[in-house]
Amino acid sequence: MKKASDYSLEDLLVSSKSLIDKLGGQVEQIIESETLDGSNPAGEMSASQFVESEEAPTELLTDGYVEIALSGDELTVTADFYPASEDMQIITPDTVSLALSGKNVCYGADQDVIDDAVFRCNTEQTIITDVVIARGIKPANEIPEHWVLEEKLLEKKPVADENALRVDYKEVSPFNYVKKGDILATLCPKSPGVEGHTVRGLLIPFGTAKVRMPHPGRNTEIVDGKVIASCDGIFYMIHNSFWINQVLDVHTDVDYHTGNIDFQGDIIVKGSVKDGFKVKCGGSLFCLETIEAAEISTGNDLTASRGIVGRKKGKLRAGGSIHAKFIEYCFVEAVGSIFIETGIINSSVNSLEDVTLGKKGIIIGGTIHAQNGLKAYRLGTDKGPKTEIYCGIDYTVQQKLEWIRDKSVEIATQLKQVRDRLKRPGQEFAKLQEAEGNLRGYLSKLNEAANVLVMQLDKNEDAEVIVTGDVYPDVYIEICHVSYIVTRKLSHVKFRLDKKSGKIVARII
Amino acid sequence: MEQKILIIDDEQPIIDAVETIMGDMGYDVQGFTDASAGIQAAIDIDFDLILVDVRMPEKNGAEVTAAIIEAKPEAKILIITAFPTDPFAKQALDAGAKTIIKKPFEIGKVLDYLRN
Repeated sequence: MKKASDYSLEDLLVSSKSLIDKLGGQVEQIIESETLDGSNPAGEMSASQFVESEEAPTELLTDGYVEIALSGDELTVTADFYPASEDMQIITPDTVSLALSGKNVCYGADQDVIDDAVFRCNTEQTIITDVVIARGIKPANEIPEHWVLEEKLLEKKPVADENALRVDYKEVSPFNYVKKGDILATLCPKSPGVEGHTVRGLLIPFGTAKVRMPHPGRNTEIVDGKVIASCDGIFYMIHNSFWINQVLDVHTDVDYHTGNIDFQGDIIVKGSVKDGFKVKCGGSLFCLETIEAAEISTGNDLTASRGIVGRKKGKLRAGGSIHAKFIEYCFVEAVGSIFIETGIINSSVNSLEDVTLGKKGIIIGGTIHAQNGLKAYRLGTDKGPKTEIYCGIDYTVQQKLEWIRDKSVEIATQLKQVRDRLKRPGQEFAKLQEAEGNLRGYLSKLNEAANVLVMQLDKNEDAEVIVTGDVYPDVYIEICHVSYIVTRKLSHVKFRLDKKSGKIVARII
Repeated sequence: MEQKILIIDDEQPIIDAVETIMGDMGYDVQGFTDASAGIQAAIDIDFDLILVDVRMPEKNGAEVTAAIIEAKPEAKILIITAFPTDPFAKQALDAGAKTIIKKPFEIGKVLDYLRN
């Protein structure tokens, strides 16, 4: 870098001339002023100039310079370029090199960028900031061999919006169809790692990338580094395993053309399930039309896009959740949640999770068991059928207890008759005594079972009944065996069990 | 100690069934078809649970509940009814009955209340 003492004679002359030129201009100005107003402002002007020169800040004359900074990971160096004051030493590429050396930067300097920044700073007399003048190299992780799934298989399927007034269930499909021979995944070979460098020349070791390692499962085969579907079906992926479930695609109604259906995989019925037919499905059932007075049993979810018309004979059991537009006059039970868009009419609906209705969804008549709670817009009607809501209890245990109760009452009645007969002497005494012993033994077994079951009621004392619209008189609500009868119309109300008082309380929401 | 159950119901077969079933489980069950006699028994003896039918000719379940609760506010009374929204059932709940059980009776609920 040039120092002040290194100025050449030519430089000195140029700067002297520049100074003289400026002073000359000021002298001419003074002369002109005297001529114009005839006064003698020269003295005043001089004084004024003197004062001004005393108050004016003294500009610090500096050489051009560069400030550089290293990033925390030492992978980049950024620089700010400051131009030289007039007639002071300008920046040169050497200035930058020296600055880099001072910070022990010895790797990845970008000379083109540096030259460009130096040139612009010197010629435009501007401060240039945040110029990346050196870059290290990030290490590239080693990627182990793995299967890469086809993108279309990973696309999220649309789901029903519980708040929507209308849900187009035709658009709500949880299924991802594949055909036999479709490529599901391609083998991505191992990619070696590459070490990195910091700008100070240090080596950065590479690691091993964490990649998703999905494993092909049922109904798939590996051919030439690709996983392909070995049958038509639905693609499933849970955690790190993927497989194909065979699908039965019924293009018509389930009726006399198809007969009853018993299929281990998923079933899609493009039509309706007609009165009196049975569909047993190991996976999920997706019915695009209505389910009528049929018997349906699924291992997973059940969707009835157009609703369920049970006609007091329909029975639906789902191992997963149930989605339907409406339910009327039907017996429905689900291990999972039940979501009904518009209404439940005079049905027995049972869920081990919760029952939720759409934004304007109503429940009129029937009995609802929702272990973890219920949410609806309206419960009951002015003069309609009775509506009963039971929450907080495992309905399956309750059903078993009711069966035991019925059997127990039957046996108790017989036992009473036998005991009455035993009081009268007769020839059948021994037989009656034997019958009495048998009945008593059977009753004891039922009672033992009841005692065990009552411990399994699996109460959820936090279950709530939420009504966003109106709840009408005579609606019966029970949470964890505590009763509440609605006596007047209530609106926007939440019913919950107050554990302290052991009573159900209704709160406005 | 043996837990005591009182049942007040005008239908003898219901009383018989409860006596037989709950008796087999080891509970001491006493039944009355006459509501007044049942009330008196409830006042005289400390029962762990009292089952009261909602519809009886002499007195309804709400009246029986009110009479017992007046004498023994801590009494644990369950109302037996075929229809849970029966207005007398509601009155009985208001009078202090704990809950409603459906006819003829609900083993699960009865055991649940005996244990808690």
